[in-house]
Amino acid sequence: MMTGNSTLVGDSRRQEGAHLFCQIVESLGLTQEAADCAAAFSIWFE
Amino acid sequence: MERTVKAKLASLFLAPVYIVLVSESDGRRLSLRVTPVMLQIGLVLAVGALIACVMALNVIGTHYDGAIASASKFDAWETTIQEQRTELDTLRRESYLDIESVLTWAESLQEGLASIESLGTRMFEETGIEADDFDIQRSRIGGIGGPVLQGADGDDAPPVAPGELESTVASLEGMRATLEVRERQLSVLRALVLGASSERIEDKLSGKPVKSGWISSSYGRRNDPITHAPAFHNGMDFGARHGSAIIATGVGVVTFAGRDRSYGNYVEISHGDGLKTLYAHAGNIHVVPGDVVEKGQVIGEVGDTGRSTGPHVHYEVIHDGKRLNPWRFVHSS
Repeated sequence: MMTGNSTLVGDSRRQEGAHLFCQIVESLGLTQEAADCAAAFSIWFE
Repeated sequence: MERTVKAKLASLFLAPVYIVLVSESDGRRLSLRVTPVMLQIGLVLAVGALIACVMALNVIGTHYDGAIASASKFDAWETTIQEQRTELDTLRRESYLDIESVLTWAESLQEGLASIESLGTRMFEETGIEADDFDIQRSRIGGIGGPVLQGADGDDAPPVAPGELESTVASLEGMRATLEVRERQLSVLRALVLGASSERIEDKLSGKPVKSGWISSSYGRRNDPITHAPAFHNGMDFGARHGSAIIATGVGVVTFAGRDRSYGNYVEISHGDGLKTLYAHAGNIHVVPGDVVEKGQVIGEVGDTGRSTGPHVHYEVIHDGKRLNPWRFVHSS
């Protein structure tokens, strides 16, 4: 996801990091906690 | 005294009686001799005449009463006939109104049919597909026609049985519903056919399979959430609330809707040109194979059926049998 914009790249990386972290939480079988994590890191979409 | 009267009365019927008539002006006399036989005959005739008069009066009285009763009966009949005539007029007017609504339905059907035929013709022209390959022209829905109906006031207004009319209206309603489905299907099929010739596969799909959620697992290598062993994940997982809507990401035809041990309840949609999408682990499924779905249409509900650790949708994009990374389609939205 190279956008050519450093700020967006930064946001994108932060999002990727949030996704990775929440996915690790879910991989532990903590589905509800993972959902809460997604909401906390604003990667939950509506 | 009593015996004397009786004796005198008895003598009337035993001896002749003389009736003397005297003229007051000149004193002339006229004697009439009445014999007992004549007296008896006269008495019998008088009694007979009296009885006849009484009987005649009785008969006349009976006929008079009958005439009065008949007149009132005629009045009642006339009232009944008038009421029935009014009721009949009302029924005819109502029937006519129903017939008008039926005709309106028929016009609506004809418009729908014309729209389908126009759409079909345009599709064939644009794609170069032979019309004979499709059954649209041949499978046209019913024939609509019939005589022109007279007004409610017309003497020759056709009699319409209310039950028959209701069944006709019900039949027309069913036909219109079918027509609407066919029209929608044809519109989607047109999009599919045109897409096959001009659209890139990236343009056929867009968006996420859930309205609300998060990407809980990406496409590619990962540790299996159940065995924790390294494995390749051939789709994307969208974590979402249990029971929330699963939506189609493009127009297409449902090619599978059922259960699998790993996928749980899942739906597969063909988007033409060898492109398919798959939505797994659903709680409930709202479509059946053969359904034509539009982009954004709800096809099921999020669940955790099959090989799943929690409520989510496992979303796959398959092109010519190969699992692609759905991200490029999701991202394009």
